[in-house]
Amino acid sequence: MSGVSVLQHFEAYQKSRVSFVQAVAEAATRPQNIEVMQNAGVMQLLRPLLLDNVPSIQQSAALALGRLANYSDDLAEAVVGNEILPQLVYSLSEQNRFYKKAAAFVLRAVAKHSPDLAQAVVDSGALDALVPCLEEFDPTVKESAAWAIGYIAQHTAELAQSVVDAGTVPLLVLCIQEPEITLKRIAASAMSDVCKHSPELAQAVVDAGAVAYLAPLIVHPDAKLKRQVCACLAQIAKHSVDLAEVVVEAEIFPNILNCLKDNDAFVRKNAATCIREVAKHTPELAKLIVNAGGATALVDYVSNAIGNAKLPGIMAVGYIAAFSETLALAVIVSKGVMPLREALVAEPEDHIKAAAAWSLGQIGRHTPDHARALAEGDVLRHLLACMVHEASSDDLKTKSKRALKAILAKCTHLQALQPLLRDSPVKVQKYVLKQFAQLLPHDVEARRAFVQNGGLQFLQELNESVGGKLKEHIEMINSCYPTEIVEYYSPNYSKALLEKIDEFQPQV
Amino acid sequence: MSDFASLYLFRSSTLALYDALLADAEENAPAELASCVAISRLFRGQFVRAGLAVKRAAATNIQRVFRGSIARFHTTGLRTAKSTAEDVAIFHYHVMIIQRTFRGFYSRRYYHDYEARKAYILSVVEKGEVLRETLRKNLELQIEEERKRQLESEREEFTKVTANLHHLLSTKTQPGIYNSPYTADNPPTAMGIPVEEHLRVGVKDLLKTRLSQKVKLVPDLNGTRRIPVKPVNKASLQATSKFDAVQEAERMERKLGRSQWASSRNFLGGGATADPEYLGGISKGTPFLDMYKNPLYQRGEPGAAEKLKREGKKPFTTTVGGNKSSVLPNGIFDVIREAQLEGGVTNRAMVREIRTKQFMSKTSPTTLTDGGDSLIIPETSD
Repeated sequence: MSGVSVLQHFEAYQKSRVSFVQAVAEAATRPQNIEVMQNAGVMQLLRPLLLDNVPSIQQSAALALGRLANYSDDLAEAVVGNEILPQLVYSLSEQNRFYKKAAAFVLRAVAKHSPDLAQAVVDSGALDALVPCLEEFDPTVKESAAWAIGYIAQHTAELAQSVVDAGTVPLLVLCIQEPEITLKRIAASAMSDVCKHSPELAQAVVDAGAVAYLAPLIVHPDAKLKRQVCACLAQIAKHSVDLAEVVVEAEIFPNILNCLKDNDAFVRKNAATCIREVAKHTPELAKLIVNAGGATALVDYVSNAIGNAKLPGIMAVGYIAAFSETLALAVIVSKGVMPLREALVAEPEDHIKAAAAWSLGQIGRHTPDHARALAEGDVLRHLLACMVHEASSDDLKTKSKRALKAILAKCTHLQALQPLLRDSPVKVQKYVLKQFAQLLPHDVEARRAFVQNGGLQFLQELNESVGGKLKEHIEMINSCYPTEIVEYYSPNYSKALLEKIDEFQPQV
Repeated sequence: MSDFASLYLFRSSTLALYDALLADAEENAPAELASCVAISRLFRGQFVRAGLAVKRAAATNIQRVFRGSIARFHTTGLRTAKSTAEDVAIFHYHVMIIQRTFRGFYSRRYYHDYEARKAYILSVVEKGEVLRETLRKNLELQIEEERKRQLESEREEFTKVTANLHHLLSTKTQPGIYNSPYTADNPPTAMGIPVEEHLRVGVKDLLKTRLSQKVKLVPDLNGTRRIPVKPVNKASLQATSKFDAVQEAERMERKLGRSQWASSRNFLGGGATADPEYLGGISKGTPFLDMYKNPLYQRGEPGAAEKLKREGKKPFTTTVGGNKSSVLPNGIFDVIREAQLEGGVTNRAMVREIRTKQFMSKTSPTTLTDGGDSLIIPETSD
């Protein structure tokens, strides 16, 4: 056999390998093929191809593996179980940029499923291999590496700590400064994954100077980048006052308020989350937001957002209103009550309703003026409805009850209290009657109105059946009226009058 | 003495009288004694009572004065207390007013300034309105830009497609497929313009950009107007020329020479030819001298004998090699990038690419896609 004909076999073998990995990589994009391929032992076949002497075969094999691992955690576990990770990690530092990209893709696909798998990736020494990839010249390699690092860090604080310990944060900060938008996006996402776990991790990111580069990106025209930037800033700010102040000092206001009315729904949501995380810490921060016009923007956001996206806005408004009566008043004059009431009434999910109830309670608990604003906004009735509705969750019931209690304790608007008297359970009646008992002695008009719209009569009927505190309040209210009137409205008074007829002896 | 006589005369009567008197005296003696006792009792009583009365009067007097004094003292105390209480009440009253005023002032100043809060709330509302307006404008702008971008990309794609489609347009006698006689009054349009129009314009663009276009003549270094020559590569002539151009030329010459073989003897391949005896090079016998020491190799006219010595502080390194250019300043990213693309002075990358291409064309009829390049990164998840 001549040399040429021998080489033909090698060529045929190589050609087959190429076509095999390409076909597998292509087939791995369709979910219906995955199980078949898995049963055919694709892992065992791809593994040696990672060490093939032809670079393109290696890359295609890595790509196929990545797609498989991306599909399900079982396959990702199979990748780990077949000890493919050490090979990938080894070649991450050896091979060209295309291979690096593919290898980083596999690591990312494995790490994304669960903390255990991510830990397996870390244990294989992937972090040390991924860090130099962040210093590559090619931005796409950096992207892949940053993405893999983000997926590793997203699971637990320990994994994030190991990511930080590997020295990735300064490199991610450098990546943020690159001109490529996708790279910026992924670096921001990775940093967000790192700092979401604990104040220390967030501090590590802040110490690397990330905020100074993140903050200006809020006004970037790219929506997806804005999403990530807002999310990252929110994750930094959420931990402590100091971190929130760092974020605020990077002058995110008022630019971030622009994001509340962005074309992209996720940008809006993440911006609202960021504002919430800043607002929740101190009155000063909340005031800063209000001073920048944030109350109006948040209220608009709450009224325009749909479903779950309302939640950060509602909570932000609640946090702001909770701090001081002035801020609560600012929320009220920014027409914040109506959207919250709408959320309380119209939202299908109980946790959003609960948040709305809580926020309303925070707005109304300060002074009679605040409570009046809520009473005039017809909030009390809906809070009561949420509280007594059978389908309401326990959390919603508790939150509605507390909110109602807080508002009623300040409410001096008797017209609004009146309807609550009849429909509410005893616990709420107690608070309503307490307010009446406090107010009626000093107000003639109110006393008259109370009798005219049947309040006093209802009270006498109530008096028959209840006891305890409620009775005390009823007695106090009764003492504001002449005995005849009280008796007149008592349910048994007619009987008593009839008995008097029996007892009466006419003097003929 | 008469008296005595008289007395004597009446002695018996006198004695009788005496006796009577004695009897009377004896008879009245107890009464007189009782009277005496009574008198002395009364006297003594009176005497003691008189003394007591004096003492009582004195005691009363003393008590009166003392009580008066005590009462005055007490009254003075009461009066002082009363007046003090009155004063204090007045002070308290005023103090209350002062405190009330001050507390009101302090609270309004530092805790709850109604006017300031009103102004603040107003400012918040105003700012909110301004912000609302700004946000609305921003959103509109953003939507508008998005729409423009969308339209632009659609238009570009449309232009690209229409320019490349090569559909037959209508002629005078034959209507094209986009100018059907059935829809003569309402031909198919895109973006308000008939499709045929698009095709016509698109093809013009294509002709302008891709096919031959009129080139302006530019004067060359001699001042002759010529068609401008676009250098394919900015590297030097030497750097752009093939590495083995000379050898190739020689080989070609030999080949051509062989083809014009005109010997009486047939050309036969193979066989050994004896080498002529080696007689040494032309430099035989000349002592060896390094080139840098050799004055004959120095450029120009040496100014002094020292000039002939090679003074190399810096090590001699080539500026070529790696992916750098020999003609442009190295270290500039553009140059490096271009050199990476084109192989720099050595054409290294190009050679590799050519080899790879050759290799691939042998191994696979289809083009081998690069695993790395086909990696599609999905959008970042939220």
